[in-house]
This record gives sequence, C-alpha cells and structure tokens, in this order.
Amino acid sequence: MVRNGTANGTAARSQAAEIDRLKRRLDRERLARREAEAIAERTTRGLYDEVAARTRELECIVDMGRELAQSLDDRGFADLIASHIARAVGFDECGIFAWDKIQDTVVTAGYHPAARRSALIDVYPLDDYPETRRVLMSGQRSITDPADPTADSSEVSFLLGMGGKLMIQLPMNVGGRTIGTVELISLSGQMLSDRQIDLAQSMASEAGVMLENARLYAEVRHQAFHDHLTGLPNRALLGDRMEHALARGRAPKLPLVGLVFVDVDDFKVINDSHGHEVGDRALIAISQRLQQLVRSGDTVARFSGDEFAILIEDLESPEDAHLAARRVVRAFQKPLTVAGREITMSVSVGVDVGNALSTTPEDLVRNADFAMYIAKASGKSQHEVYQASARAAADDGAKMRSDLRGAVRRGELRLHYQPIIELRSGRIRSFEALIRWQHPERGLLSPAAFIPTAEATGAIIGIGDWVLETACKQLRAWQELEPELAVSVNLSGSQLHDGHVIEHVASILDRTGLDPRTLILEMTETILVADPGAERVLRELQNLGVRLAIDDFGTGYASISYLRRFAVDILKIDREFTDAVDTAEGTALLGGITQLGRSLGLELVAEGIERPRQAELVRNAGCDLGQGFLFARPAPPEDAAALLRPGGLPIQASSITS
Amino acid sequence: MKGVVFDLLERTIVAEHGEDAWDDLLATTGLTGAYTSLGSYPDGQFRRLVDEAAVSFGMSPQDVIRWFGRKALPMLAASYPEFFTPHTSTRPFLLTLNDIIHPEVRKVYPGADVPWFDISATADGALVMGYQSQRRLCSFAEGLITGAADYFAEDVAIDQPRCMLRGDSACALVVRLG
Repeated sequence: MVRNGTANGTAARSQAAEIDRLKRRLDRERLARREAEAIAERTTRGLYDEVAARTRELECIVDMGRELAQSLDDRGFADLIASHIARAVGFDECGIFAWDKIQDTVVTAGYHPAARRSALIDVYPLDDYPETRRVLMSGQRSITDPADPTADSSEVSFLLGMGGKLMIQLPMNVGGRTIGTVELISLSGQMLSDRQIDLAQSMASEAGVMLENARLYAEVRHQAFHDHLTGLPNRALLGDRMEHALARGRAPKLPLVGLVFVDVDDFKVINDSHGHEVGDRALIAISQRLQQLVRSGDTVARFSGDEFAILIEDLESPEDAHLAARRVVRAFQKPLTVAGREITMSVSVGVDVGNALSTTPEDLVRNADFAMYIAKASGKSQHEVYQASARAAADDGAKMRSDLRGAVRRGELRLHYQPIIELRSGRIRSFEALIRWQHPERGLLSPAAFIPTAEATGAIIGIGDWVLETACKQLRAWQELEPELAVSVNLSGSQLHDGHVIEHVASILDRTGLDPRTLILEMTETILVADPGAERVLRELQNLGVRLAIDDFGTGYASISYLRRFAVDILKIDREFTDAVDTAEGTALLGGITQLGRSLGLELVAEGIERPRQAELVRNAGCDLGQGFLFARPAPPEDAAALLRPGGLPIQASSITS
Repeated sequence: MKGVVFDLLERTIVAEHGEDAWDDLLATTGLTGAYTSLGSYPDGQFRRLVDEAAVSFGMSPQDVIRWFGRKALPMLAASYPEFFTPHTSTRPFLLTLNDIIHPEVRKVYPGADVPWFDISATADGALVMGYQSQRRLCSFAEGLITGAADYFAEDVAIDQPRCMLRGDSACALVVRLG
C-alpha cells in the first residue's frame, strides 16, 4: 500500500491545526466559565450585602416604630425618636424640632442624648433661622458645614454652640406636609453616606407620622380627661390619679392621701343674678384660685358643675389635709374678680384622708362629699372632716327614707293622744294627736326620729293627710260621748306650703260632719315666719272654721305682729316657761305672756306640766289650760278614751286647787 | 458593553458562517474572546470584531451591525418570549421598549447601559424613534427593528433623516410598518 507522504503530511498538519483550534476554543470556554462564576459570586455577595443592609435599615425603622407605639403617651416620645435615628446612622447627637406655623417657630421636642437637652432652648424663632425655614418650606434636606463660607451663619452658630462640626437637617414629612425637622449633629465632622442620609430621612418621615399620631392621641386624651371650661382634670382623671396615689408605696410605708371636696355655696345665685357667661367665668376664676392653693404635685379637678376636688398626695399627717381644707375656705372669703366685677362667694369644704389599706378612691370621694354636705348643712363657708359616725347616721337616714316611703301604706303609723286639761275644772278640753311609727325592726319611734326625714323627702304630705284623717275620725267617735271635745293636729311647714291641705281639711270636715271649731291646727312660729305663702293658706283654713294654735310659743320670735295678722286662736306656751315658773323671774315672764294672750283674746295652754306645783303656779299666772305628764302621757286611742270616763284622769282638778 | 452582545454576535456568526469563522475572527483581531453574558467588555473589542467581520464578509461595518441586529432578534425572542408573546405586531412591541423591556434588561444585567428612545408618531402613522448614544449603534437598532418585523411577519421600511454618524446630534429612526 502506497502512502502519499505529502497527503499524509498535509492531513497531519491540518489535524494538528484542528486540535490546536479546538484547544483554543476549549481554553476560551474555560476562561469564560471561570469569569462567569466569578461574576456570579460577586453578584450574589453584592446582593446579599444589599439585602442585609436594607434589612438592617428596615429593622431600624421597625424597631423605632415598635418602641414608639408602646410609648405613645410618654413625654420622652421625641427623645426616643432622636435616639433611634442617631443610633441608626451612627451620629453623635440628634434633635427633633416641631414646627409651630402659627408662632413661626420651631419647638424643641426631643434630643439625644437626653442629658444634652439642657443645651437647647425651648423655642427657636424661624426669623433667626432662615435655613431651617427653607427646610420646612421646601421639604428638602440641608447640610451645614462651618468650613463652607456660604453656610448660613445662624445655623453655624447654633451648630458651634452645640459643639458640633457638621449638621444635617432633614424635613419630617407626613403625608405631603412638613411638620418639623430632624437635625443630626456630628461632633467629629464625619459625613454620612447618601444611603445613611436616605435612611435617616426615612426614619424622620416615619417618626413624623408617629409624632403626629402621638400629638393627636395626646389631644384626644387631654379632651377625654380634662374639663373643657376650666382645663382642669376631670372626674375620670381624678379617679385615675387617686388610684395611682393610693397604689404607690408598700406597707408599712403606705402613702397617706387626702381628698378635699369643694362646693361653691349658692352658685346658682351667681348664675341667676349675673348670667351663665359670668357664671362660667366665675368657675374659671375659682379653678385658678384653687390651683394657687396647692403644691405642684397635687391635683385640682373639676368634679361636676360647681364642685371641685383637690387630691393631696403624700400627706405627712391627716392634719395637713385639714389645714388645706381650711385654707380653701379662707381663700374664698376674699371676693373673686370676674369680668371686671367683684363677686362675693363662699365654699363649703369636706375632707377625707386614707391610705390603700383604709380606703378606696370611691370611698374618698363619697366621704369627702359627705363631709362637705355636713359643712354646708351647718352653715356654709366652712370645712368639715369626715367622720364615720356621721356617715353611719346618714346611712341610717337613707334606710329610714326607704322604709318611710311604705310606712303609711303598710299601716305602721299610729296616733297617740295627750289630753289638754282645764286647770280649774280638771276637765279634758281636747287631745293633741301625736304621731308614732311602729317600725318593724326598731319598735315604736317618736316623731323626732323620723319627721325630719319625712320633711326632707316630701313623705310628710302623705303622712300629714293620714294624721288629719285619722285624728278627725277618732274625734268624731269620741264626740259621741263628749260633744265639745276638740282635737289638735300638728301641721308641718311643707303641708302649709303645699296648699293641698286646704282641700284635704275641707273634705275631712265634710265627710265626718265635725264642727270645724273642734279641729285645732297647730304649727310653730318658725314655720309662719319662714314661709310668706303660709298666710294665705292659714286664712283659707280659718275660713273653713277651724282654729289655729301656735305651738312652742316663746322659743322663736314671739312676735305679736303675726299673732294678730294670722288671727291665731290658741297659744301653747313652751315648756321652758313652765319649767321656770317656780322662780320669780319665771313667774313674771309667764304672767307677761298670759296677759299678752288674754289681751288678744287667745286661749292659753301651758305645755310640759309635770308637777302639781307647776300646775298651780301656771294657773295662778293666768293660764287656763295645761298639758303634761302630770295629767297623762300620750297614749293609744283606747287608753286615751279611758281618760274621758269619770275619774279617768289620775290627777283630779281638786288636787291642784289649793 | 455587556457580554450578552458579544455572546449574541458569536452565536450569529457561528450560525451563519460556521464555528471556524468566529475562531478566525478572534485570531485576526488577536482577542481572547472568552465572553460571558454576565460580564462587561470594552466597546472597542466590539468595534474591532465588527470591522474585521466587515472585511471578511465583504460588507460595510454598519451593514454588519444591521445584519447582526436582524439575526440576533430571533435569539432574543427564543430566550425572552415573555416580551414578545403579548403582541401580535411590531408596533406595540416597539412601544414597550422604554418602559418594560429595558428595565428588565437592567435587572438581569446590572449596570447595562441601555438606550432610551424618544418615541413619537408622524401624521401618516410612522413611528419616529429618537436615539442618542455615545456608542452610536443606530444601525444595531435598525437591525433589531427589522428583525422584530420579521418576527411578526410584517414589512418594514426604516429611514434615518438624522443620524449621529452623519454628524447630527441625535438619530431619528422613522419606522414604517405594514
């Protein structure tokens, strides 16, 4: 086989060239692969770094947001923002300034580090800081570098004043509005990267939203916990503060807390005579005067209407609260200047003191209010310290009120009768009907135990009606034996005031057919004097033919003029005079009264005769009629009826006729 | 210039003229030619390859670039069908260049310096695509546009009343389709 050497040589050369070509292609591919791998690695690492950096930034923002959300009502809210931003970008100091558009100022809201806050003033007028104004107006950041000759001089002097070398001012943008600035200060002069500035800007805007929310929250909270008119804490906030005041400290060092309850006396008069607008201004003036009286840690609250309360924390002793109460009363003894005029007013003040073991906020309020009520009832313009015994009595009163409401319906009321005797003959002229309450738990109660309550609650009207009706019916029955017998019934002020008694008496007379002259209505002088309208009611009653008697005469006004004006028929001379009748002076006094009565043509009854000697002296002084234990105690109708029988009276007229 | 362009050029030349042609081109230019689509390479290498190809293929360099663009487009369509399938004709496809395609290119090839076309229409419905780039690759754009028309099976005529290669400050590609 012949080989073509040349051909072989050519093939070999071309094969070698081919191999060479393929080798180069392989090298190229290998190179390309390595480069691609290197690029991929770089890209991955870059992406990772980017993601990590972004994550850190987001964490900065989220951390700040989370912490801010938890301290929405904290005073250090803006300090917190400042510290977060400073830490996020690694700057030394950071200030938060809120823009007050109305005042054209920025207000220092927060600073980091908080200890450096004192280097700042509270308010910076924007007229002095044109660069800050530009940031606020344009929403664009600004960098102040003292080395830059074009830097704004006021910003530079502010920065140098803070000991800083570089300042970056960022606008806090909230929904397209700028609400303030974040100012980052570097003490070393380090600059931030664009990336860091962007982060600070993001945080500033985020913080701006939170700051705005915090402001709104504070506003809403303030509205919810303060009185609109006076700006004082309201009842809800007072309750909260009392809760906290009591909760502080640990046994045995529990803080002593006092509540001073202040009620303006007759505030209604101020409103009525000066108008509500002056009334409102007076309330503001009152609130101011109260605030001047307390220490800064104490709370003056508007409790309601014209009621205020002062919470005093950390009392040294209860006496301090009592002194405070006295100070309040005194402070209002000077007139108040309201709308250019002087208004005289007074306050009634109640105070209660306790610690967490002895009281609760509710009890403090209840007790101080109660003490205030006592102060008011005992003459206004004074203070009263709460006493548990007074409360017990009042609680009794509350139970009494509720019991009394059903007493008539349940038939628990009784009438007892005490005779009025002709001192000369010993004959029974009339009976005074006296009410008793057969209380289911407390037994038989005298009128003193429940009539004041009945008066206060208005139950007296129904009770009075029942008494009249019952006494008249009883009299009608007794008149079967003693046609001339009379009965006297006590009228209360409320009954006289409420003209309804006229119809009621008329109706009873009509139904029973009683001779009106045998019904005597008794009332005290005080009632007649106190109620100008009583005169008309009495005239109407007299027109019905009934007789009128003045009870307890001589203890009140003892005024002759009303004796004439009201055409009184009978005077019942107070037992005080009977008691004193065995002295010369007493005899003279009683003699004077009887002479006066006789000259006016009145029948005279001496009350409270207990001894035969008194009966004699009274009769000698010119008094024809007497009443008292000497003759008979008030007794149930069946026992009283026994007195009417011959020899029924234990003391006979003969025994007092010397 | 992004490696992806060199990669496309290699694939185009290999497809049209065989593997040896690319080897020869690299040999005559003295370039290593280890291009990866992720990398970036000097613009000058692209120019040298184009100039050398023009000599070996007997074409002008601009014709080479135009030809390259037209041949490269189907490869792009195969790699990135999501930019093509939403359209049935060339015109709406071209209108997505600035807002959709180029931003996506930037994502895949960080740092890619893609051109921005100032697109408007003439009264008779032609698209006017303003182009301005230091690379002055208006011919590449022409080629790609022609390739796109091929893809959508449309006729296209492209005029350049203004061209940076002729001294104008910017190029204006007037594209008539249909």
